[in-house]
Amino acid sequence: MQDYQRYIRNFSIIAHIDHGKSTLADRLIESTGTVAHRDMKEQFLDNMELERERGITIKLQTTRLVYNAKDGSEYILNLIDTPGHVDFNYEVSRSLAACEGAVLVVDATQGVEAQTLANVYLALDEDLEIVPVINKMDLASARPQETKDEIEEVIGIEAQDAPLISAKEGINIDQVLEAIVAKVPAPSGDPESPLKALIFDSYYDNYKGVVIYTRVFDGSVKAGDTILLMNTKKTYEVTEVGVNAPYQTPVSELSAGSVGYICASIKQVKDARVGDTVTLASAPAAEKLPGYKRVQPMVYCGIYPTPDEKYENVKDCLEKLQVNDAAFQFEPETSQALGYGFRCGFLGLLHMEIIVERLEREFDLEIITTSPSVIYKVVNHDGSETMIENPSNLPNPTEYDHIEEPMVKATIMTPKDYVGSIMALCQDRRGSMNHMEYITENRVALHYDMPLNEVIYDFFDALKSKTRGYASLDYEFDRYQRSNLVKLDILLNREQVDAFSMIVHESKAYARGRFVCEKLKEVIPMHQFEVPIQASIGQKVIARETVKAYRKDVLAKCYGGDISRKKKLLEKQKEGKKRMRQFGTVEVPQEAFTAVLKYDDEK
Amino acid sequence: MGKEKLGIYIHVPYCVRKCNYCDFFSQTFSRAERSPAEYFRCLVSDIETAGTIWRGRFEVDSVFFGGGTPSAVEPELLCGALDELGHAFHITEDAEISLEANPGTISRKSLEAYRAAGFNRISVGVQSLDDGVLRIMGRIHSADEGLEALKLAKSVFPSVNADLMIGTPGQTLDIWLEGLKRVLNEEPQHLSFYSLQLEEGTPFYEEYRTGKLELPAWEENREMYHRGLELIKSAGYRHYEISNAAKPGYECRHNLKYWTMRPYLGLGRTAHSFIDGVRFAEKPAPGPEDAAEDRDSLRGDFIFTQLRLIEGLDEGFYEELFGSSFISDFASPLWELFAQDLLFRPSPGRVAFTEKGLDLTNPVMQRLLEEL
Repeated sequence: MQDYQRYIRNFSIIAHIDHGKSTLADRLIESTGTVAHRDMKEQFLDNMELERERGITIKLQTTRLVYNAKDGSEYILNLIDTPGHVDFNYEVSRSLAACEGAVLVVDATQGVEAQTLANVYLALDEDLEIVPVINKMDLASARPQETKDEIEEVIGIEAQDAPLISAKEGINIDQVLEAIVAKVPAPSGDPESPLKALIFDSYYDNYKGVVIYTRVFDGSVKAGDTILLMNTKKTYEVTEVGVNAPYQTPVSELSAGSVGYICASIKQVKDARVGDTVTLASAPAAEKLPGYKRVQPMVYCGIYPTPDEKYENVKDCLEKLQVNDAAFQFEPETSQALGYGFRCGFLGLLHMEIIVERLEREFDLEIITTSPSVIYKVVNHDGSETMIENPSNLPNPTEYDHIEEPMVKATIMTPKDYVGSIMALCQDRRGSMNHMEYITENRVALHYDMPLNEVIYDFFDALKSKTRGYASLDYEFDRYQRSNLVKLDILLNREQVDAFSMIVHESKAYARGRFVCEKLKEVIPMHQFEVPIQASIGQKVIARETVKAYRKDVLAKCYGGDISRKKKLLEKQKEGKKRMRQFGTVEVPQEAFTAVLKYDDEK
Repeated sequence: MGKEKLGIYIHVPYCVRKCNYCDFFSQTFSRAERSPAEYFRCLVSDIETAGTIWRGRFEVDSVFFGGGTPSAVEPELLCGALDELGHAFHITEDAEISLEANPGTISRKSLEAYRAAGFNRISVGVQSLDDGVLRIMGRIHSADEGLEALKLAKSVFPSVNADLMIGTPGQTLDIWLEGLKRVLNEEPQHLSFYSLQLEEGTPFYEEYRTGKLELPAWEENREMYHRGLELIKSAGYRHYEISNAAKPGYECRHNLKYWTMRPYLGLGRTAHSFIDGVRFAEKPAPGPEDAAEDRDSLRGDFIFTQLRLIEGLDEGFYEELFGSSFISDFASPLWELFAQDLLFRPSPGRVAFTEKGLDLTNPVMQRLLEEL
């Protein structure tokens, strides 16, 4: 170990969602004086407005803290924040790979949850030292001893001396800092060896181009070096290296053991993928760091401009988002109902919701999103396979041999009282149980095989409501499995609207068809004629509703305040005619497309 | 030098209770954003401002207090606002000064107070003379109270309008005609008869859309309209707008301004104004953000409003405003609509709806507006 490395600690904070990860990060930053208290916004590391509002971390961030420890020495603590949600597991695993230790935050009122476990396993995979911390001690319902025992029993790590803290109230934060210094190993690595640095995050900055967040394992890097990205095999000249303290501060070089950023005039985030290895073009490392993979979208949906929005506008914004988010993919597609738009791929449902919300809020776009869908594998008669990302592209049943759908391994952790209702829910969602284990006397882990398509509708919401928020969920892709799937079509005034088509399990088709018809009936406005809403499989109609007709042939009342509004209504009807051609004869409001997404269990 | 004439509308956004069909901006007292007294303080200040801006150019020949339910607030508030109008503007001797009243909110005393303050025309919301129909509509008064109110109004005001509705839930042709006859017996100088419109956001709209509310069929609605009109006309009224008829000389001067592109100023919440081709709302004068409507938009407004008149759209006035001929500007849709017997020329220089056209005013106007 080099002498300077003795005073560096690289660590992450891991936790189940809502256990207080971001709040603890804030307190660490604040108590080391890295950010003056008056500049402190809540959840300092969650930069995006959306992140702060939703209380979640989407993009990870890194901060360098300078801490004067009780042993009298000054330590550099590199905090690498991780996203908390299962959609971003790969990013979590890569940022953990940049650390030697992880602070495990467990809520003293909730105990160990599914994502606690999932994150701990990820950390153990990277051989990290786990520093347990018991949070929310300010709450009356805190049960620290039970929580410690649970950590020891379930995770198998020593937890009796875990700091008991309240990140919210700022209690015992210094104990966390001391534990990090004492328990997390200092980094090693040879500054004289060829450069080997891991990209654990990257984002696009308008002025600097792509900014790479990196952990240097061997060697060193400075401005003027020509770097080689070992997976993409592209070379760039470094324009700046620096650290986040917490604002970007250039430094002369980053050497083995350090965490910081590199700018090298890279144009797109996809050219500097998370997990790639940075080395020097002049003296490359013999082999790259392990663990790199290309991320594959799991969930797809269509994004279309509304009639008032320009296609090119939407395209520009999607491109801008993609520059910043390598996991987000899109390509052009056409819908009979919605015209020209894009099929977009996401890591999961949360990722999708975030992107859609950013398009609407940051870019002020008016868009229509279609039902999310997973990727189905159609096996043709000759044995060849076609991947279907858009339900309306599913061929006729006679044209293929069978369909396969993606399955996930789901882990649900819950107090034992809810096991019955969770089992009923999972069965309803076509899950099959692999095994169940008691992790403590009161808490159970249920391991299920489930179709991803059942998880992406509101499984998580249903789980939360059935367990009053106590159950937690984690899942990962497992395999494709043959399944009895059918295409459910929706017809408005007897014309099929392709944007509503979805692929569902045969056993679910009736319920889903009925549900969509009822939802559409709620949102479709009155027309001059009756609008039948039908759900069908092939030629067979399985559900039907009707929106009543109302003749608007005469405007009886028209006075001062009304004139422009009423005239506009009339003109809108005229424009509506143009749009109506696209929807057959029925005008479908934008909200119809989101209304059918929310699957209500009561129905 | 005669000044230009201006109509002033004052919006009174209070009701005892919201009716099930109404989408005008109004609030019940318990849920109002501010008290009527405070609302009128703001209004009076707007009136003062408007006076300093416009009195040099305009004199006021019509004032209309609408709502909401003007008669639901303290009479002193309405009279005070009218008084303020008199200070801020020059109101002509013969000005028409109207207020709207709900039968459930008036007394002889309040009507006399309005009359003494200068109101000379009252519009009574009778709506129907069938208790069942009134109940479904969510009205706060009975049929008898409606008729009583009309009698009272007639005894105090020189000019009275009765507001009636057709095509409402539970109403039949017989119920309508019988009620209409009883209203005609009272000889109000003016009648409004509106076919029910389902407006988005109202209870009626949602109930009907989802099949919970039955309405008379459209054909029955039209029969009510035409049969009612026959009775009205034979009682000596002149049908002058789609939904309005009056004894000769009692046409509503204020409302006619809306249908003939004359300038009017609206004050109060959601009140709209139209001066010099500029439409603006909720303020005494246009701000920098309020641009004049472009020519096509104004031509659209012209058709949309003037065709409502039974005597028809004034081609000469069109030419005066827009510098081109109405007939040649709209030649192709006009010949179609003439041929379909939806429009005709009742007199030289006028284009009007035929009797058949009166049942299809929206599609006809749409066809014309498409030409813009």
